[in-house]
Amino acid sequence: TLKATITFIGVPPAITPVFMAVVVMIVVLVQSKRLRSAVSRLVRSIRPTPPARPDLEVAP
Amino acid sequence: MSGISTNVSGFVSRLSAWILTNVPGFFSRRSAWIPVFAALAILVVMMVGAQVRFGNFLTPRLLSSLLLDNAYLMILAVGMTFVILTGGIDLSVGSVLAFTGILGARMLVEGSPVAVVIPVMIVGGSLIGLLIGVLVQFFDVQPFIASLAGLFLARGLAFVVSLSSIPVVEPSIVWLQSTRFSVGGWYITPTGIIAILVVVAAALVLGYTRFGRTIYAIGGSEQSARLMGLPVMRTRLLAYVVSGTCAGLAGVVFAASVGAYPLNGVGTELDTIAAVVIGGTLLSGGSGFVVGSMIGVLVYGTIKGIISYLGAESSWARITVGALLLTFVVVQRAIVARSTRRR
Repeated sequence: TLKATITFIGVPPAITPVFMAVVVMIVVLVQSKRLRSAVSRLVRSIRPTPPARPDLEVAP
Repeated sequence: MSGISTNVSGFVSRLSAWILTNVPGFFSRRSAWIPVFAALAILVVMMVGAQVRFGNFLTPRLLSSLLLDNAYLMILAVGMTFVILTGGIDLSVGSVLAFTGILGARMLVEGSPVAVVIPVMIVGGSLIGLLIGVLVQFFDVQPFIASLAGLFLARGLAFVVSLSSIPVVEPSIVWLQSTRFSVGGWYITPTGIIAILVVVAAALVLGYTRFGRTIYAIGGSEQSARLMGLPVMRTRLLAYVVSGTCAGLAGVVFAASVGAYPLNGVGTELDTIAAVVIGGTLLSGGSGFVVGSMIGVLVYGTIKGIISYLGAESSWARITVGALLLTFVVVQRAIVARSTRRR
């Protein structure tokens, strides 16, 4: 499918290995723990923390 | 006359006594050298056998051509030895050789000076090695998969640079392969000198530097190397950079000998791994020598030479190398099992 798509968009089929390499790298990077934890840290830092509700009392 | 024969027999008996006393002790202390000497013995047996069979095999001209024809493979084998010693593998070297070769040829055609082209070729190889090293070390990707991605990338980039072959006619590049320094029938080309220098430099680095010893330590036990405080991360990354750099340099040598073509070096990575394993480097890492890899390349070249002398199909060279490789892998397993029992 990758090769057919690349040929369809007008890229010479001989260059397919570059796209294969990119796909392989994306897949292995998505699977890596380091990248996933970095992304989850990033998401946590971007997501706004919910404001504390003043009507709630904390038990002593 | 009888005095001479007495002296000779005395020398032989003393020599055999010395061998029986010292050689077993040497091999029990340094079992890692056993496969190297086995490869050397196979090389000698093959050469002597070919000389007996053909009568004109062991000539200075043919032995010189062994180095000339396999200089690029020797350089690749040096880089591969670094990676295999850490317990990894680099499948990208053949494609990197093709990519750097075609990149350099294209730059030369477009008028870039050689002083720029050669460093660019070598650094191009280093960068692909760095990419593989980063994937392996930082993202815990299996070396097989990471270097497979490097293989695809380099092969594809070679086709991006040019879809057809580019002849290399730059005099200073052609000089590397066409110049022959001759002494009494023996000759050596600048490519052969480069290959020998790379082997010597790598042997010194592996044997006498902190980086080299750390490579052995990582291959032996990565956990222990970490606990000892050795720079595991940096060293493993550098091993892949060394392999990529050697592939870039081999690209220069290969382009000088046969020109540049995007399909150059297809399957060369497997020939390189075969030569390194035949030379006695354990695929599991931690044991092996660059000198052994050099002997492995010479064994590979000799097999090709003998098959060519026999007039048989070149596929028989691959079959013979395959059989030899199988034998060496079994021998390696036996050595590993023996050393494990001793612990």
